[in-house]
Amino acid sequence: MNKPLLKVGITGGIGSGKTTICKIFEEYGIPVYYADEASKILIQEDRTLIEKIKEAFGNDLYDKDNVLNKKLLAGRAFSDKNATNKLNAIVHPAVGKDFDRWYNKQSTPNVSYVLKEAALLFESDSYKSLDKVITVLASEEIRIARVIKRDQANEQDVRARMDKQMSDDEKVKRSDFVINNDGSQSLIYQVNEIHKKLCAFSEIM
Amino acid sequence: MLKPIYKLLSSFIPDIKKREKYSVLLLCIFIAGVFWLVNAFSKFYTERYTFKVEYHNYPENKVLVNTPPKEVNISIRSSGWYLFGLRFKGLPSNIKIDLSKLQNSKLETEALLNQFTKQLSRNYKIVKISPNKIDFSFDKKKYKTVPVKQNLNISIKKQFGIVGDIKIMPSNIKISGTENVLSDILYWETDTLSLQELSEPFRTKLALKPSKHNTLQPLQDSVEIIVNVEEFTEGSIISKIEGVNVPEGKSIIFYPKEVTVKYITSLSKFDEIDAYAFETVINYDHIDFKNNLAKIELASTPENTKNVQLTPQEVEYIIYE
Repeated sequence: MNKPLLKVGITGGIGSGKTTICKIFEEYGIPVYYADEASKILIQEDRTLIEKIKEAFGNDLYDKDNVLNKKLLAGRAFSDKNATNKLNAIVHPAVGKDFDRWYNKQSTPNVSYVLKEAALLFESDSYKSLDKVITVLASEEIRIARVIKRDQANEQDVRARMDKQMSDDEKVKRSDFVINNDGSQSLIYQVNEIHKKLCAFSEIM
Repeated sequence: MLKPIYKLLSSFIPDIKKREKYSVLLLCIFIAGVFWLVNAFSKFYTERYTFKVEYHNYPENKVLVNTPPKEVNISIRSSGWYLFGLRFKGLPSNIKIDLSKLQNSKLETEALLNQFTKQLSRNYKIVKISPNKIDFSFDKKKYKTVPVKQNLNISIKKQFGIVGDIKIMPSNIKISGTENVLSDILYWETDTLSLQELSEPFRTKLALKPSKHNTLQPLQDSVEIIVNVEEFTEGSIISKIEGVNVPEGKSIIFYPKEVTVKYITSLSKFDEIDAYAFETVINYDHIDFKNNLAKIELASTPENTKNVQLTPQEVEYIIYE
């Protein structure tokens, strides 16, 4: 019988470069589950999830073809903290179940772990079901500059989004590995070191 | 006859009797002079003239390897009348030598005499030719096809560029000469042509450089040159980088996996260029393993692109077995 694959989470603040790091892990053949991308698909396609969102935020969020009005949802769900928590409480379990389905399908040979990339890994408590967690760090200035460039956003909006996330210090305390993505250290070497440790860890498990 | 002389003397000699006497005397001198001149022109003289020589009818499949004289001195004997006439009519500028009459690669005095006499009037007799014989040395004529090398000095107007290569038609020409001379010839150059600030297609006939050897000749004297000039524009695409020449049992991981390729191309070709047109690679054989960055190389670029720039130029890499 094959050993179960390790579940490794990878998180980091907005603009920290999580996806970049995941792309490098993919070069080693590691399967990566992108939770934020999955959630965007699930709220458009998962019928159970759609019904729960309608119940919580109004039927008019979806049209007759069940196409989500994202702008309307953002207005209602991110207007206050309670509403945001309510949406997260609906979406995160659905994403968790989707991850489990995805995980059970993974049978890539010569691979000892999979990655789950999520921005709110700690905030959603989904880290509890993972074996190891990697946090990606970058300075605030670098992260703001990246997000402004990537999302065409303004600095105020980016800072507002950053404030809703857990501090980097708190994430680091709860993480097993840290990757510095501020240009001061080679990303590939940091990834390689963590990859070797994760492979070794899976051997002794 | 006396009247004009008489009139001429009237201003110098006022005395009528003296003037009559001198008039008669001058008339006699004039008549004597005319007789002397007629007598002198009727005599035969020998004059030496220098003629340039043109050689014609070279034997086919043979190449002249020595340098025969370019001028000959010919002494011509004829009456004073004819020689005097030559001063006005002028001499033939060139004397032609027909090489089809060669005997044993030589033209002896008699043969030269025959050829030259035919080109002069019957009234002139050639008495001496210097040199009195001309030797010709021939080698077997061979042919070779060589590429044409253009000597264009072109400057293009800003934002314009040359599409494709400069076309030379024909791009190869046939040349003839002796075997040993031909063996040293690897190409044939055109004349130099300067074209400044080109902004539209250009087509012209361009002369080939004259041969430096007597024995070597191109079989044509010009080629056609086509320069296709068009307006250029800047393009940018994202190209996926591939690792190449990685030994079996080893893997290379590098990041980023993509590179931005900026280039300049002609407006007409702009739409033909896509992400697959450029081949960007990390060549394992070229990696400096002391450096943790590997250089991105352009393995192939589409035609009609220039000023190709890669961003970034290097990627982080790691080799593992």
